[in-house]
This record gives sequence, structure tokens and C-alpha cells, in this order.
Amino acid sequence: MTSRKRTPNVVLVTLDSLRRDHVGCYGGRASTPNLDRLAAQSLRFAEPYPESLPTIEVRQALYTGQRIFPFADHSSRKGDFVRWPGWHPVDEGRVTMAEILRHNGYHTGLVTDVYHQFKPAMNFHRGFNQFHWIRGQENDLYQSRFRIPMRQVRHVQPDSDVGSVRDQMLRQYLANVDARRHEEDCFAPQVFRTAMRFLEENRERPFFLSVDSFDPHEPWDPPPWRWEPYDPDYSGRDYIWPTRIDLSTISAVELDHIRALYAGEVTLTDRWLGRFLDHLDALGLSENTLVVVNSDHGHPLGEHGYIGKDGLYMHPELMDVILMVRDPSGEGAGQVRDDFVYHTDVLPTILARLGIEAPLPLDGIDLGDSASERDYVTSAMGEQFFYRDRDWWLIVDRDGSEPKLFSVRDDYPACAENVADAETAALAKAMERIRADAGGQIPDLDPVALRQRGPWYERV
Amino acid sequence: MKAIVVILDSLRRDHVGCYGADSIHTPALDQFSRESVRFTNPKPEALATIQTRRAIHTGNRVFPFGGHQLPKGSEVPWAGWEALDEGAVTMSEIARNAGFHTGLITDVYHQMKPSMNFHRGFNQFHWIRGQEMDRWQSLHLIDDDTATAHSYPVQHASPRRDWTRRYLANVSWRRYEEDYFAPRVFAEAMRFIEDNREQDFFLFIDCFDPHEPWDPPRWYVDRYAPGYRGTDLIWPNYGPCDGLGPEELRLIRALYAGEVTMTDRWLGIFLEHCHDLGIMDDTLLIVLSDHGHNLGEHGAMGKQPRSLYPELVDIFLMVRRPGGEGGGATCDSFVYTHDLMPTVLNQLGLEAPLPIEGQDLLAIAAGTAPGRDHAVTGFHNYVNYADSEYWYFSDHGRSDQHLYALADDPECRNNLAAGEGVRCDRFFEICLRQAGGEFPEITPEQLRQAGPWYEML
Repeated sequence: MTSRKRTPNVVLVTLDSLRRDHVGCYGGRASTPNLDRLAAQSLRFAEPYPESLPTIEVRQALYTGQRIFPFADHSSRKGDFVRWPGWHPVDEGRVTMAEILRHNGYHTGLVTDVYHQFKPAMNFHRGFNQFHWIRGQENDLYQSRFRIPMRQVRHVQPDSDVGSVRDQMLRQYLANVDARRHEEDCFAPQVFRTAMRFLEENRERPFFLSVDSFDPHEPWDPPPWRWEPYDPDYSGRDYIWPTRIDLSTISAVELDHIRALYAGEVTLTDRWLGRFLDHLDALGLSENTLVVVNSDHGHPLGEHGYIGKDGLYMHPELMDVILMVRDPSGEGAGQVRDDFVYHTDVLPTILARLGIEAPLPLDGIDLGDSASERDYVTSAMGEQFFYRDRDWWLIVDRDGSEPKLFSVRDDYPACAENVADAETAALAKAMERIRADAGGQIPDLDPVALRQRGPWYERV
Repeated sequence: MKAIVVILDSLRRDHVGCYGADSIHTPALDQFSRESVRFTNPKPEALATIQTRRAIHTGNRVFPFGGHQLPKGSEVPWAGWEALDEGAVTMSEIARNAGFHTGLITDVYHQMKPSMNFHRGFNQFHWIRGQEMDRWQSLHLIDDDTATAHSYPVQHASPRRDWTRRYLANVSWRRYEEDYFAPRVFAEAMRFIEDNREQDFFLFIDCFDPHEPWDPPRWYVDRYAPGYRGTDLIWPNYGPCDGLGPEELRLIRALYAGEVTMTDRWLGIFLEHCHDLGIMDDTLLIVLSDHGHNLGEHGAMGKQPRSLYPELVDIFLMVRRPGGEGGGATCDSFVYTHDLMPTVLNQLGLEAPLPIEGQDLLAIAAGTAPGRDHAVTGFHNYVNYADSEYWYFSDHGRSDQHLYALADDPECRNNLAAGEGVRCDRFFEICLRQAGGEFPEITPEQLRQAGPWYEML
């Protein structure tokens, strides 16, 4: 192993919507041999949490090391139908990981298919010398949806979903992937293939590469050989984008198949991550490259009666994410730490490892230093807050109403029995800590700011 | 009903055949003029690239650039170089809201930079990557010798050589004419028409060519510099060009002219496809440029506020009614880039939800809208006044005034400003009035990059 003397390259891999309980080395149910292999070489964090949700909020925290919670000063922007509070471009006053590393002599590259970052006014490519946008995920306004006859859409949605907003969203997605023929044309393969080309081009200089893969985010449509191991006898329709469907209208067999599609997409993503990691080896880069792999959030698959992401469903299947850091010196390899950590910790950890001083005060902490002393974590999505410590797991409305309190010791990850009424002291303490993390006062979410401005801003 | 707008960036009016350019080959534009109303005095209301897009998409003036703030990651320091205002409503947003399928096809990479939002309102947008210094391919694909060979001596030791290097990396994979930018833009546009020909649509084609770097396939250069076999110096510096000899200027102009002809050819292929797919009787089509480009006529190269001569400010603009009705007509009124939006909206039967300053071009041509007998164009800290007799420009502080009498001096060689103080006062007053009584201060603080993290490459 090479020592710490040379300044290492940095690779940051973000896997969107990857649930902790689907990753093998975390005891998960999907086949992820490449993540497992990486974990054996890495310092693995057992309890990482997003400090706010969803996608765009996490990217801000990851790139700036500063918290987005509790969504002060929210305003939505024209051209983006997503209205979650905190769903913002990177603040002009903040400085990003790419900007800092570029300033310190790194060649910086971004490879991503997270199309929310391509929308009007977004700026997550700030600081990158080279950026590659892989077009076409989900509802990316890429190919003409009129290419696709509606009967083709019907084939991938449950009958009960027909007539919903999903009709045109699915049509858009099917148009976007209409040219797809082989596995290499799927999104995770496209992302990691582009990342491999970046390595080939830039292997001779210090580089920072952010590989931000939307997969295994829905739509879930991996090649059949990826889902078949999870559901070998299925012969029905593939509901590739079952977000917010009425679960009472589909059968148990169909629900199992949705879960198999997701697991198949996890395995597909893991496979191509593995090829990318192998390429680091083949190019002789692994011995001098710091590799950080994380997921931004999970995805409920009907465990609590809902498929999709929502503040009301901040259960483990949504909140539990992964984080591992492979240091080229071998430091920490194979170790597992269970202190509470956030995405905001990634930037300070990387900077400390490279000996670069942060230009602004950061909320995150250097994880390489020692275990975090956090007793708890807080988070937020939409109108709800999240809190957990070693004993309790809380989902609660911003005004303190509708608390759902679960015992981590007795009821994790199921979170089946709400004990908020009985455990008033625990609840009060959790609320107090949420308020403290919010700076003493919880900002109002202005409904006007969350509304789209005028009638010109529809989804498709 | 459908509408298509095509911008050809940096295409000088005096390089379009139907505007009298005898030596420049633009058969597609010439044919198009026979089916269109041709405006003889169109102007951008402000420069440069991004400022013109703001005016075109919103129907409102951008000049005079109040409260400018340069967003992080957007390096161009000209006042008014900003994203669309959140309070503005765009042509595409209005059309989409009325049920039109809206499409944007562009390789104008400035619109892909952080915080930009010119794809607002489009149902479908295609970004053709790699123009100029788009941060697309690794510049390390190109070795020092190659970058040097394609750079001017004055660029060898400057960051400019790396700009060229970046561009060469971006196009390093290219093999055939169809891989060049204008062909890629118009090929994508043809696919759009095929996919959406049965819909009511609004398509916005924003083509960076013939913007530099100028590197068309050799067969286009041969027309203008026959026999030249040297290494292409594809991207001259902006600013004074006294370091360039006559042979270098000749080649630069030949490369530019070649790129104009290539762009025209692919516009023609696109228009032919529109005919073949049967949409031309049901489609309003507008083709224009956003600004020109100084090619050494006044000792300057590129786009510089202090070089607001006709070769930079004069653009072309043609409007083809559905079916080519009334084609071949001309209109001499001064018109602006922000007149596009009301023209498109009226043709599609749509109303703007906010007051807009532009006028319907077809109404001006028909004499039912007042039109204008002069135009004022702003560019950073300079302003230009033009009417049918005089060409005037000055900096905001009036320390660098220029006045030319166009009848005797169409190329603006003889500066009359020193002896024509009263006339200069009058033209400057008009500019000032259009700026609302005073020019906003353009402070270095507003234009400075925000912190040390923002370099060019």
C-alpha cells in the first residue's frame, strides 16, 4: 500500500435511492457483491443519515458540508415541478466540494444522470472542469413523448393508476428509453461507462470525480436477468414506476414483483459500480485514490402502506442510507463504525484527508478524526421532521402534531407500534432537540413560496 | 398551428446573400427570403449572446442592465449576462400553457452553465454539447503541441491556448460533416419535426454556428481561400488585432465565411425536411441572428463593447408566414430582438400575461403597428444609436464617442464626433432616455467573480 505522502485523487459515488437493507454488507436482501467487496476495504459507517430529503437537498448537503434543515427561506423556481421545501440550487454564498478542490489543483469531473440537476436555474455543476449529463431519467424532458402510444404506457402501470399524472410521466420515460437495446444502454451502465472514460483521460493528474447515479431510483426496469433471480416465476406485467399507487388494487404477487424489480435495479447498479472500481484497479489508480460511496436516501416499498418518498413515511426504509470510505493507505479497512453521521460530514472528511482547509465554517465534521459524539440525528422532508437516537425513532409534523414514535430497541426496522402517547418524556426530549437543531425556532413554510408561480408550470 | 424560431449566432448581416453579400454563398437563406418578409434594419436591443436570448424569450428589453450580479460558474463578465428573471414569463411557457408542445434544441453552451434557465417552459430540450469551451471533454485529451499549432503566437503563453485546447478536445471524436455542430443541431431539429409533426408545437432552434471557433470542413473553406493548406488558427483573440497580418485576416475571414455557408446548408436541409413532412403551410418560421462579429474592419476582432460598429450590431431577420404568404416583401422599419415574442404569440393566437415592450413584426410590416425610425443597442458600458442616416456609439461616460454619416460612409471610417457635438448630444440623450434617464452604474464589484474558486477552466 502506498503511504499518505502523495495527494490522493478523490472519487465520490452517490447511488440514489439505495436502501441500506438492500446492501449485502449491511445485512441486506439484494445481491451486491461489489459494494460488499468495497466495504471490506473501507471504513464502513453503519448509521449514516441524510440531514434532509430528498434528492436535491442531499446533494446540497453533500457538496457544501452545510445543513439544509430546517428549510429557512424556501422559494420554488420556474421550470421545476418539484415543490419540496429546500429543493434549491446550491446557495450562491456557499462554496462547493468541486470549487474547493479545483481551486487546489484538482481536475474536477461530474458524471450524472440525476436529471433534476439539469433543470432551469440548477447549478450543481458549479466548480467542475468537465461535466457529463446523461439524459433521459424518469421525467427528464428529453425525447418527444408522442413517440409512445398510450397502449404501451398501459402495459407498465396498474389499471388503477390509469388516468393519473403518471400516464404522461411514464410516456415521457418510455420515450426517453425507446432507443435502448442492451444492458450497456441502461442508465447506471451509461453513468459508470462515462466515469471510466473520465478515468482513462485524466489518470495522469490529480482528479476529483463525482459519479452521481440516479439508479436504483425508479422507474425500475432493469434487464430481466437482473430481476429474475429475485422473482423467477413471475409472468405478469412490470409496474416500473409504482409511486403512490393504491396498494389495495394490486396483488401480493404484484407487490413482490415490484420489490424484485427494485432489487434487480440495485444489483444492476452494483454490477456497474464494480466494473468502475475494477477500472480504477486496472489503471493503477486505486492505490492513490480515496473512494467514498454513499446513498442519498432509501425508498419505501409498501412496508407502511406506501410506495414513494414522503415526509409522512420517514421510516427506516426511507432514512437508512449507506456510507463507506476507502482510504488508499488502507486505514480503517474492514472496520465498521456505528456513530451517527450525516452527508454533511463527507466534505470535511475529504478536505481533512487532503490537508485542505475549508474556506467557510462547515456544519459537518471530519469522520477520520474520531467517532462522532452525536447522541442523535435530525432530519426533515416536506412538512415533517425526523429524529432518532439510540432508543427512539420519531416522525412528526413540523408543528409537533401527529407524532409517530417507535422504540428502536424493540421495534426496528418494522416501526409497527406508535408509542407516542405512552412515552411523553421521550417525545418531549426529541422535540426539544429538533428545535435546538433548527436554531431554537422552527421556520414557517410559506405555502405561497411552495406553490408554483402562475399557470405556466405543469409537470409535462 | 406551429411556430419555429431559428437563431444563427454571430451571423453578420453583410454575410447573408439576400442582404447584398455578393461573395458569400447562402442559398438557403436567399431562398427563404423569397418566402418571407425580410427586415432590412433589425437590431439586437442588447448584446451579447445571453442578453439577446433574454429579450427574445420574454419580449422585454434587457438594456440597461440594472443590478447585475454574476452567478457562480458563469464567467462572462458583461452586464446583463444573467439567467431569465423569475418574474418574467417566456414565450415557451405561454405556448406550453396553451397546449402547444414546446421544444428547444441548442448548442449554445452558455445556456447550460450553472444557474441558467433558458429551457424554462420547454416540454423537450436537447443540449448539443461541446461548443467553444463547454466543460465537456477533458482538455487533457489534446497535447501541448496540437494546442499550440492551433493557437496564435500571442495565445501560446496565455490561458487562451487552453481554451482552444478545450475546444479541440470537445471535437476530437468528430469524423464527418454530420458530426459538426450546425449539422448536429439541425439533425436533432429534423428528428423533433418527425416526432411531433402531428402536434401543435413551438420549436426553438438556437444554433451557435457560425460563432467561432471557425473550423468548418475544408470544402467550405476552399470556396473562400482556395488552395490554403496551413494549420487552422480557429479562434482569434478578442480585442485589437494589429498583430494580425493581411494573410491571417484573409484566412480568418475565409474560415468564418466557410462556417456561414456550412450553417446555411444545414438550415436548408432542415427547411427541406419541413417541406417534405408537410408542415410549412401551417407553420410560422422566423430566422435571425443575435449579433455579428468584428473581423478586423476597425482594428478589432471579436465582440467588444468599444467596437459597436455595423459588423457587430447589424443582424438579419426574416419572418415566413404559413404557406410563405406575402413572401419576398421587405420592411425597412427598425425592429428589435424583443419583437419576436409578440409576433409568435399573435400568430399562435395567444396573449401575453404581462405587459411586453416588443411589437408584432408582421404588424409593423403591414403598417398596423408603428414601428421605429431608429434603434438603441446596449452592450456593457457602451451604447449605440442608429437611424437611416447616422451611426453613433459611445461609452456611458462619453469619453469615447463615434459618429458616422451612413450615406457617405457606410463602413464607418470617418468619425465625425469631434465636429458634430450637437448631433452627438441628441443621440446620446435618446440613448439615455431609453435607459430611463441614467445608466446604471456597472461596478467592478458586481462583475467580479465571487471568490477565488472561479477560474475559466
